[in-house]
Amino acid sequence: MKLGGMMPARILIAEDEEHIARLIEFKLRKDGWIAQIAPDGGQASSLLKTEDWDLLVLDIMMPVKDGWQVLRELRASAKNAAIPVLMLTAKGRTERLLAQDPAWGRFELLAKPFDPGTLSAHIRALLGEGA
Amino acid sequence: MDFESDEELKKIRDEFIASLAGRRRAFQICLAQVSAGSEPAQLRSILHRLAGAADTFEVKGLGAVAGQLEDQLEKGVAVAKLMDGIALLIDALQWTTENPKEAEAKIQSDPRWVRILTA
Repeated sequence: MKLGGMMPARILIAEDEEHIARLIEFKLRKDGWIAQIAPDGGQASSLLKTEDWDLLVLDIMMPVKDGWQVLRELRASAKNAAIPVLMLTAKGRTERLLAQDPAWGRFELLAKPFDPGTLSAHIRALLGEGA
Repeated sequence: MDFESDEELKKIRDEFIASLAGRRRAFQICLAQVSAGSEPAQLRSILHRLAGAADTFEVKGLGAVAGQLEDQLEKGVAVAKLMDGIALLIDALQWTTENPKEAEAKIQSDPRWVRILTA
């Protein structure tokens, strides 16, 4: 949550696995952030274009558009080029190598299964918020 | 994570467990399509989602079986060679639906589990 009476950060959760998405949403709301779920990459892209977000939690394997496609579009858009992204992956190795490319911008990877406390810590760090 | 510590958390986990019967049916339909000649990509996708969700909700036996099968498919092992593990997964989905607390021990004591691990 942002300090000093500012509005809480708005976080978009792009995750197609319904129950994981709800678990993330629950944790983020409990920590004071505003959270909304996009159940596939296509809907995530639409919501990124039409609304303002402070951070994107992005699953990699999703229908319609995968996480890398959403991220490419995000970085190519003037509106969202700088949004920090927390990518969720069950396949750590390949993505960790890809993540070394600075062209992807500001993002971190979090392997599934993750501890919800670790998820919040990553988000706080990406948002530049204190613990 | 203690899913019993919060009513909402417990509800999400219970609903995940309740979803397993439908996932079992979807998996069986997909398996029939693959056996009839369809590409196994959809099967892999189901396994991927199941493994990720089961591990997240600490349904570990089921997550481990799904993860092992997904890894084997990713390595290019033919579905026909994984039928032993697939049968275990279908049983594991049933066992977890019926009694999630006992399912993990049941899966790990099943001889098919050892065969999957050593495949």
